[in-house]
Amino acid sequence: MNKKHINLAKKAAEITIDPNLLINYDAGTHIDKIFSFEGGLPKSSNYMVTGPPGVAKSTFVLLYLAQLQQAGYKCLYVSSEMNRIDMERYFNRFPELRELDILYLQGLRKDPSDPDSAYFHPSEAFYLQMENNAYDIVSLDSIAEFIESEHYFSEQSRKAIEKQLIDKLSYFNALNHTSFLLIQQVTKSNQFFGSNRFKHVVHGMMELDYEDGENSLNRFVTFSKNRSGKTNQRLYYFFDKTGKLIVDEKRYDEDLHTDKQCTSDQEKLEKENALFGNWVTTVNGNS
Amino acid sequence: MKTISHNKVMEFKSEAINKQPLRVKGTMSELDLVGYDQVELKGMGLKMTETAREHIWKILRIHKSMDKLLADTVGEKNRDAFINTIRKAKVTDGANNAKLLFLVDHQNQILKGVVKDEIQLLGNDTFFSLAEVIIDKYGLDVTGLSLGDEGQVNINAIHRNKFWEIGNLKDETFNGGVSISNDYQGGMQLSSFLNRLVCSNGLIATKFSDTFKMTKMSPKNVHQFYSSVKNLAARDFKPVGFSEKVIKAHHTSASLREMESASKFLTTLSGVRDSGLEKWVPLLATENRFREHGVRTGKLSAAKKKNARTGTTVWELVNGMTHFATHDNGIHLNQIKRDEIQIRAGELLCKDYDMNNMVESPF
Repeated sequence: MNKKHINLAKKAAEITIDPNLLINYDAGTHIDKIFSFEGGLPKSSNYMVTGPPGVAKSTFVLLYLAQLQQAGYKCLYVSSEMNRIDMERYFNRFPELRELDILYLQGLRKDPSDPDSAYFHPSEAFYLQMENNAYDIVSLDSIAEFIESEHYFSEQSRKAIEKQLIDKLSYFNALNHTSFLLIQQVTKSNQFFGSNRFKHVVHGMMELDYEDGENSLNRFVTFSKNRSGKTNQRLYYFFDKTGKLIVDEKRYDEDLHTDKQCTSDQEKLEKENALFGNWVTTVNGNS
Repeated sequence: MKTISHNKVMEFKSEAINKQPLRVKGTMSELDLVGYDQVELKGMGLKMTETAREHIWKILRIHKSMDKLLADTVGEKNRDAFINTIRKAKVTDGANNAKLLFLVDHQNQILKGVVKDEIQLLGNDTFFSLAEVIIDKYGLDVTGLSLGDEGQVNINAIHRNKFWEIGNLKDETFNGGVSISNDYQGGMQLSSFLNRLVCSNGLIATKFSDTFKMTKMSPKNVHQFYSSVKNLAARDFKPVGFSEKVIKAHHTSASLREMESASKFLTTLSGVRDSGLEKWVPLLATENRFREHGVRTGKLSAAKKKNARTGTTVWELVNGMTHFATHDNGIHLNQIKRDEIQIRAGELLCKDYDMNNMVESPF
């Protein structure tokens, strides 16, 4: 039987990529530095943002979105957990967030003027908003709540909703080069909520945590997986007396410098061992 | 206390980098004990220093006293063979064949030390790059530099422009700084360095809360190291609780045991004994006073010596030791030994004094 030859692979030289796609979304802050080696959030990428309750995942992401928006990008925050009143508290604390596009998935009626009109399903509203607006950066807060509320409305299986979400993210990655920051909770023992499928498909896993146990003042953000940048490099942040989130830029630079010193000391140690090895070979070879 | 010039510091730095032995990674199974002071490391014959020998014995958990006992019982050659057999037996069990760092002077073919892997011995160039940040940032003057045989380094530096007094005590004005060291015992360590102005006595305090030990270099540990110095600098390099300790030492008599211990320590490091040390630790005069009083101190148990009050305060004893360590008294003492005495004086200052246990009796 003759089999038709199939070749789905391509050489890199055969693929043309628009160079603009390699220019990252850059807010011009220290947060950019942790996303990629060259700085900035890569286009068409999806990042999972995890951390224990209260570590300020939403605040951190919201403030980063506001910074990106100030830098000229079109940003959207999709809230499946917080309603308008919850968000108002945020706005009072962080007035810079008021200019952000926010999509509330809870209780969103198809005809806002008609109190009896049907509710949008969360996924319906989210994908509709995405289709009609070319966003650069979008944050979904949170994946677990989005899937749960969609499951409540549509009675689709959670697995099917998750699959559709993953497919849609890829679709919008390609359509508008949108990058997603997908917030997900972990338990107090750092266990991930939900399926592990997301862990594998995302570009990076961004983790926020307390430095010295729950509710300690010093917190940090780091990556346990990052296709474009360093992993395990910590960016520390804290809230000052006025409640303002302060990113410890000085410490980040200091840590980077220390990292280089550690590497350099390890390299020197390896050289010393190589020198000893050569010396043993020379002396024993001569004897 | 003179400041060491920048050029001298730079000369010392390059000497410390050049003289640091190679840090060779390996395990005890790669070390063969050939004789009393001879080993083979990864097939390479080396002489071994007493220090390296002590390190190996410690890792093999063989008590020092066994050395002499075995030599007396079975002869030196058999003792060495026996200990090598113990080494072989121990390393067959993986748990006893942990990772080690061998300190090798390859130019002179000498094994100078063996460090357990849990302590990361930094290269001296890395150590200096960390120490220089502190010295430059806080405008410290380097007043002491020491380099040990195994490549260990200590830098003492003070802040000359900040002085502080201790309560109402006369002549007790100090300025402080830091003592930073890199060695195989504790990795990189930060201690308080204190300069008593009236006689320029230096004291190294390793027991205050401001001290810091970094056994592994990491961004978090280095940050804590810098934070410790920052906290110390914010208090003009005056360790927390230092004044209280000095006042207490001023008002507490040293015990005979504490005095004997100080004297013995100075003798061990300097070789000077008895009357040669009286100027700093008046042990003979104290013993004479006890004898006149009908007490033969030589017959007292250690516990009784702890209860024997001397006419010297703990603070006088501390100052005697630091004076001995800091000044040129015509006694040959290298800087490493001077540092050790200053550390011991700091430990004496910080400990619970023997006389603190005395109870005022109503009877």
